[in-house]
Amino acid sequence: MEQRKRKVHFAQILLVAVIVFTLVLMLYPLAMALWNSFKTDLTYESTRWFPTLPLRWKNLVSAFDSIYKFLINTLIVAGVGIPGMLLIASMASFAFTKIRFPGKTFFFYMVMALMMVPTILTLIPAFLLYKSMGLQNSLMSLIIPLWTSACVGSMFLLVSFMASLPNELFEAAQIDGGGVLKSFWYVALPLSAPILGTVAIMQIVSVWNDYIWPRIILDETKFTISAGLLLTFSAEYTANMPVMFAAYLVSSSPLILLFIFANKFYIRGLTSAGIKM
Amino acid sequence: MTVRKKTDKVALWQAIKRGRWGYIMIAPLILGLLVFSYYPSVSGLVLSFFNKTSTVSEFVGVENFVKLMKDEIFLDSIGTMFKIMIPKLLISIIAPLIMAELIFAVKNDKLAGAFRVLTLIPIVAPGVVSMLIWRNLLSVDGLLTDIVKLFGFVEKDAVLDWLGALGDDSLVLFSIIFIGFPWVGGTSVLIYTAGLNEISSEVIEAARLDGASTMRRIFSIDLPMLTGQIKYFLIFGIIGGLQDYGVQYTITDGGPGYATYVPGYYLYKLAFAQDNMGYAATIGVILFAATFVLSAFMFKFMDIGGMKKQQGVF
Repeated sequence: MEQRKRKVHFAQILLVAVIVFTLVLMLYPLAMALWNSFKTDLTYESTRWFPTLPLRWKNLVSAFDSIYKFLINTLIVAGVGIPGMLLIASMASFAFTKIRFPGKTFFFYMVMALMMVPTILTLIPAFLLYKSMGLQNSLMSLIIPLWTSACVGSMFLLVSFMASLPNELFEAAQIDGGGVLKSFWYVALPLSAPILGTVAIMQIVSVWNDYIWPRIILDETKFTISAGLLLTFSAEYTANMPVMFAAYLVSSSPLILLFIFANKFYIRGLTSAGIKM
Repeated sequence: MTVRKKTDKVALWQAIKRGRWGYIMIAPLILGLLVFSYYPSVSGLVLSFFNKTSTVSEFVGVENFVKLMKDEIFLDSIGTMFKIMIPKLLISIIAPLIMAELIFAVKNDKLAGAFRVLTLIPIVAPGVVSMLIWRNLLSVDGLLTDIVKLFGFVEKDAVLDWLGALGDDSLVLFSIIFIGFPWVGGTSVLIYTAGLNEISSEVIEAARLDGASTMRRIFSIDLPMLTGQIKYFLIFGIIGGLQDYGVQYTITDGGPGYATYVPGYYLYKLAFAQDNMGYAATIGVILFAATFVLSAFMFKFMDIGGMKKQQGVF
């Protein structure tokens, strides 16, 4: 018995060691970017694969100066686009799961069918459409996709979640004299907070990541963060590498903060929704 | 008969009236999608039959398609796409699954929780940032070169052109697949974990008491429970993989030569660098058809969120 216990114990230690090793490999590129943000150009050349002191904080300042305008654009797009998307997508998800109306299945499949339409098919026509509407070089050309096509992917999670809310809750609300809208606003929305948070975080990340569409439809002054980073720091050997890494850090900082404050929330949302196929 | 038809009509009308809130609540979404998703999709199809540049717009029938079928850049790019997509797809399904199982086997719950949070950390770096970091790691004098030389796999003075920056295309496809190593960062591990947590601890305990090995349990209990997740990764991996050209855009520019051209990148180049929108749209149509065929049959077996069983309250 004692020996068996020791064997299990050893297996656990080995297991943890394997996991830690994998995580170190996974995190190394990010860690490298982090410590290189604080080096001078000279120390970077000789010591880029490991951290050194002293920390050169000035890099962050120069990096911030060169990308803050992109950060502001990104915040505007996320701040206007994502709340609108959450409202539009959650209203529709509520209707699809809790309201009876003729044609429901048709409309539902009409929405879900768009998941099979690759964005690359619509890249050129969307460019022509936004241009003809005079939205070229307007941040609206990044906000409108959040209110429309981005809802489709979000609803994939929202519909599953709202379907799992017990119907009895809404029957009770109905008997109490609440209308459909009240049930949506006061019962369904608060109960869906975790999944709405998860969806919001996913969309914030995708706004942060997007660069091809912004670079097609916008002028440089309107670029969001990823597009701006490519613009400022694409020539590898001409740029000051530590400042470039500092810019990566500055551009990620809102996501890092979001992650620190919301990771529990995010994890709960992601694991509770489950993917039912 | 006519009477019944009439009552049917009345009943339908009443059902519509009763369900009016349903229509009102889906209206913003449906109208938005019609204008900004359906219209561009349809006009993408239409565009493929036109010779369209910023100055010209003329109907040319199937000429674009005929030309495309003989276009060697396009035909080669299809092969390149599969060479990148298939390994990446397999890796993105298997690597996080192994990691999720490893973490699932950790007995200390706090430790397991911490590991799961750590696997999420890469999402805080925008994709462009990790691409650019990898470009640095895989540069000719980058970390990977140092490591390979340190272990003596190649001569000290060998030049390893990982990304084809010097014009050598022998390693570039391998490097593109290698980017992201060890491929476990992101939300996938967590999505698998959600599935694993649904397996009741009694079932796992019973399997253990019956003398089933961990491997046996993984294949007979865990994997069948995770088919939903695996299907999800497969569908979105295919849809994403067919149109992905992020590496080409940020790192290789399709090169060296045309070695890393994929159809998506060719489309982008044709449309926005060569102002050949109609011809480019034709590639979009082909990619759409491929996506449709490859994913439609999987969607057929899906019932998103159990929608079919949802009766509704109101």
